[in-house]
Amino acid sequence: VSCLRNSVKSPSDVSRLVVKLTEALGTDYYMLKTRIKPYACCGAIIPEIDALKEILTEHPVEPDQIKSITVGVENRALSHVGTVGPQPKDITGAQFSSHFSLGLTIVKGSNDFKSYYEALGNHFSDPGVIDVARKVIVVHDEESEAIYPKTRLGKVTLETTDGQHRIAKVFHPKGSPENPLSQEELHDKFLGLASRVLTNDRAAKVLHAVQNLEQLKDIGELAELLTLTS
Amino acid sequence: MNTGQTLAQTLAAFVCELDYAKLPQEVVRRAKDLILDQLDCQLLGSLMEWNQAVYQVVKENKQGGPATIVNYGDKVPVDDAAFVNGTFGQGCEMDDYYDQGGGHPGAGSIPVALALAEKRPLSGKEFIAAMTAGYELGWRIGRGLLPGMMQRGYHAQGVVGVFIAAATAGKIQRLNPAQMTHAFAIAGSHASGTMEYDQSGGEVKRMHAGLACAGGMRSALLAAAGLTGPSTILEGKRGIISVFGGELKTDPVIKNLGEEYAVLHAAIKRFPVNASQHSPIELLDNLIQQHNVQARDIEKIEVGLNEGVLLHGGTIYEPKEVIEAQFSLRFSLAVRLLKRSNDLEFYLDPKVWCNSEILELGKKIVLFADPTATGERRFACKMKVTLRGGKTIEGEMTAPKGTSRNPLSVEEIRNKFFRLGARVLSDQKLNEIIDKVEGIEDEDDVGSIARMMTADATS
Repeated sequence: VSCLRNSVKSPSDVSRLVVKLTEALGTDYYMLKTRIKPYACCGAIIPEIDALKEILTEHPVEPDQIKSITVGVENRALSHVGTVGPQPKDITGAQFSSHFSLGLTIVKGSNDFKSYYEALGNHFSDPGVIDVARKVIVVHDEESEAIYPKTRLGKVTLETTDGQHRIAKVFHPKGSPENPLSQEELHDKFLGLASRVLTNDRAAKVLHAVQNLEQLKDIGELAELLTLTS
Repeated sequence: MNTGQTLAQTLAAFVCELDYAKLPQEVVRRAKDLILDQLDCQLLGSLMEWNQAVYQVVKENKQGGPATIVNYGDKVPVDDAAFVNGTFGQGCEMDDYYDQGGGHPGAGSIPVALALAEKRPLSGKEFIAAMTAGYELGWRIGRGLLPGMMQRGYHAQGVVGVFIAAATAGKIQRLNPAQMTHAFAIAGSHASGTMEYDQSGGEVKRMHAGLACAGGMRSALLAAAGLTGPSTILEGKRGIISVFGGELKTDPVIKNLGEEYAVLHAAIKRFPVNASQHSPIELLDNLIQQHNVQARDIEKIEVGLNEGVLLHGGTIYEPKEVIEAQFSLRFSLAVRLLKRSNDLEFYLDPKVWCNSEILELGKKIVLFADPTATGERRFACKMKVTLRGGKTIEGEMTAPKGTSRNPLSVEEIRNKFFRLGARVLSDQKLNEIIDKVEGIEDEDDVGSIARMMTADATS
């Protein structure tokens, strides 16, 4: 809203806005531009995790070999995921902390739901994770600012204790239209989350129902499948 | 006070400690008048066709629960009753308002308290304490938000109403200070609603009080069930004051806490229009009576008002629906001149909206921003009437009748209660309700009042 307030000052601004809001309406479908999250955190952190993983794949490091992990972000992400810091107080805080999330990436090798949920179980007190999280520095970055909102650049510099700088930039994070999850990856995500509530058999039925949704005559059947198996 | 505490924590501690026995007598007296006033607004609002969608959606989807829907008597869950009855309560622009602006406390607290009073027996003393807490939160947070909230186009009831409702419900549910703080923090996520209705109409505004009642009540129930929120919800970087008000003002929120009561800053409406029209209508009425002026004598009427309220009631020239008529100061003043009244019937009648005499008179009204109309003088009005031949008459009004500085008498309040309530209930029933409210401090089960508010109730 504040963007609109600042940009709409005259009737011609309004007509420009109307043009923008109705551009390719009915021909260009935004559902195709929607991202699916591979990790259980704020979308702004996903490109950061991917960039860090890229570095780790090429140059594996042990946590104690890390001097710092610097994340360069645009202004919105800076306050959105850069404020909570290395020691979150609740799970929402953990999911919106670049520091803690990248600590999980290094120490647990994963940012799936289970890794955040287990952290909740130990009140975010895992010393290994916190130790790495404290080495994460979130800074404003001009390159990230310039490209936003076209994409959210994942720009990570890992400095090792022996002075090496490893840099990675991710323009299209996993789950974006340019770098989508495969059907298999999507199904794995679904079954991993669904199996916390449903039996494997029931989860498979839900998957089947959704894959054949256009054949379903009564969508209420799907709602019924989504209940605990008695 | 309470250094080291966030605003929400300070207000939560105040609400938890608030004790009926320590309330000044004038607060209790005023609370009874305000309860009665809100009840007649709910009765009238229940009949208006633009409020029927809200009632119908609840009726069709939410049957079964302890709480009563006003007039119709359906039993529904407590938050749904608060949603419908709160909508009714503000559904005709006759409900109370803060004398310096910033929301409508009766429609944000009383429907909530009455609905919860049907969940477990609630004493009249607890009811008044809870309602006082609600009035307090809305008034105080509103002072931190004005005038920025209004300049930005947010509707006060949608923003502060959720805190009114959360404090009322939290007090009734006997939340502890930590839970109460969370209730306010959760209420912050319910704050919403723009005033675009005063630019191009639409009836959704009627529902803002109902939404606030339901959202605020749920916030308190959720906090009791363990949901948490940010304790800096009011003054934080992304908190309510910065986001909705713009400028971070914290002092007015806690100034004189426990010494100055918001209940005494609530004003009772005489006309079915937005709060800021009351001064100009009354002032015009005084001037034309004092000087024996007829509508045809008038060349021009200049009206000076607070800059923010100018846009609120000054945009609409030619009403196309009821809410536009009620939010058009030009229409109201023209009706006053021609009909010597601002009764609801003129606002409900489409023939009056397009009456050529009224529209012509409306064009003679010039509104201007009065920089002195701010703070305590927010609803003050200056007026200069120029007559044919050039003679001018002038006047000024600071506190219109109905504010606590210029209150309606008990008889006037009861007359309004009968005038509005008689459309739904018999005089006998209305008299019984008056007796109940008058003796509410000795009542063990306030829910009985909710059950008397139905057309076929036998009480």
